[in-house]
Amino acid sequence: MSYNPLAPDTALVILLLFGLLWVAFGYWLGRKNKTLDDYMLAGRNVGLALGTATAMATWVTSNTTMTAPQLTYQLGVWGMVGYSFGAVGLLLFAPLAGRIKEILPHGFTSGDFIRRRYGLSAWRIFLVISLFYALGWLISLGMAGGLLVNALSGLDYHLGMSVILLVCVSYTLLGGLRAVIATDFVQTIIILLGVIWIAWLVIDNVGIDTMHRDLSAGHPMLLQLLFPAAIMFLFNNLLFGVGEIFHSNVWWSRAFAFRKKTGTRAYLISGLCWLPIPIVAGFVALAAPSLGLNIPSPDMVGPMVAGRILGTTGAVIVFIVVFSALASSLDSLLAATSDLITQDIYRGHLKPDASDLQCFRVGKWVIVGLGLFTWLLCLPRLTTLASLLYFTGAFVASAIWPIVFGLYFRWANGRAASLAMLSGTGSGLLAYFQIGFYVAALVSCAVSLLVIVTSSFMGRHGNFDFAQLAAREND
Amino acid sequence: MLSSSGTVWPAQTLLSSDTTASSEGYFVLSWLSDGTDAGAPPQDTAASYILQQATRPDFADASTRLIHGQNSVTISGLENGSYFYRIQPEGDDWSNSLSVQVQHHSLRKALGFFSLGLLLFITLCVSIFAGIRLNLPSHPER
Repeated sequence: MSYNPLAPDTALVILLLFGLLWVAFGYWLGRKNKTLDDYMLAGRNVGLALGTATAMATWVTSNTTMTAPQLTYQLGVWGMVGYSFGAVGLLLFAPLAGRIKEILPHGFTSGDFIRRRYGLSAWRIFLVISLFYALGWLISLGMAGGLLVNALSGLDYHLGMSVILLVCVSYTLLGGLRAVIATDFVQTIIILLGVIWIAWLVIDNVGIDTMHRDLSAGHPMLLQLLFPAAIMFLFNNLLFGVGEIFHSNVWWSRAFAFRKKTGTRAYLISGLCWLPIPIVAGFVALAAPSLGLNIPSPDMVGPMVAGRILGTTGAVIVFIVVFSALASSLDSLLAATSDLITQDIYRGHLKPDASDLQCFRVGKWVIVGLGLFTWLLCLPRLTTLASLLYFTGAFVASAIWPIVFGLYFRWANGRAASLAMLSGTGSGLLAYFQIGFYVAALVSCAVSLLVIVTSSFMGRHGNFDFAQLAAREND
Repeated sequence: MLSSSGTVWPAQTLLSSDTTASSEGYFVLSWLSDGTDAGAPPQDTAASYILQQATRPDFADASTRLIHGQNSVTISGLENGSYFYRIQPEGDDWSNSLSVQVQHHSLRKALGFFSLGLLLFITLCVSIFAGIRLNLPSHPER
């Protein structure tokens, strides 16, 4: 295509070089993994620096670097501000991470908590929600990889997507959570420097005045502060981010893996550092009209602006930045979802007497299976990144209240939590199709709150003893 | 060929939109030309096109943009109104024209959702804060 700043061969060489680097790093780190705790939770001994970096890098996803520009191009200034509200999820999870480590010191997954706190029915509903979300996120990451490679180099979408998935599956398989966290640290530094540099070049090359003039003339609503859909999107995105983080095993596994008292500080610092990144990443989309770019698909606006501004050399940097962002999230998600399937499906449902060693082995096969499944679902480009991602909002936002009330209050009971998740998801999906993707999480969260409170106080009032969570299950 | 409104047009280039009514002011236009499929993922095509956007069906007030090597384009940031589009491949005839009606959600509805979101956010913060206080070692109900 006329806007590809990279030759396909160059893109493939970068992919392979960085791929080999990450895989070798994963192998080197994986040699230290001797037990299930080592593999799944990095020995439960992750410190503040690595903890902060991994939380931040995981939350800076290809969705941040590609969907933030897309939402800015669709919803304007509020699109990028709203996307940055995703940081609230990290900030509010900070106290929860401390509480999780305190009341469930031997836990492995978020599913462990739901099962022991609410019982089997709520656990199974939660697992469906959590696995559906994880798969949606994995597909959006795989798709983003293919789109990025295609937008910047013209290299076939399927080839780029396949190579990126293969690399991430390989090093996660070899190194477990320890490799995921260590690569996240390096990837955070690359992402931060790259994103700031691109935004600076956009301002320097195009100029705020020119951008404002061209947007006012051709895309006036993007500058409009009373843009109705964007206003509706603001808190929806905040609650979607909260739902994603509160329920997902990606964040729970880190809470378990961090040293005592590290989780709260790590999530707080990472949230504050993450806040400006979507604004910076989304801002570049506003330069598209001034650059005379015709955006074929809204999720390609970020790479296209960067490619046009930066030329070949710069495009190499963009490529590495987004590849890093992709890898840092894909590996975390693969590891955490594999843990959830191994611990909650395999050990929880299929083989309750499985030893740690058996789970260790099964976990590796699950990572391979997940990678393969994601690859198959990414083959047809079914939808845009934002549409796919926000579809899952209806699911995850319904789990916010069962998690919060379940962690802190005795009165929340299993029946109320199950009803809240089911009704929240149902109403969120209805809102998604009847109104738009930008209200699905909001409606789901509101209905879930109403149901859990009403059902808990109208039905049999729970009186849960948190002390029973602290014991190992086989004690 | 026959459009949804019953208009007959020449068969060379077929312009379509992913929606005819937008509540957000954005949509994707795509066109079928040189054997490519309208609505398919962006393709690498060698052709150049002229795309016109107007607020009148006779295109008297049209603005023009030149598009190279793609068979779709995202339009965004439009205010309320009717917008008309047509596309012309280089050295060829104009395509069919189509219209998209942009009617944003009402501000009242938007602020309603905004207020609901704000209320939920405050409830969430208060719940977490109350939960932390309730579970402090010194709290009598712990």
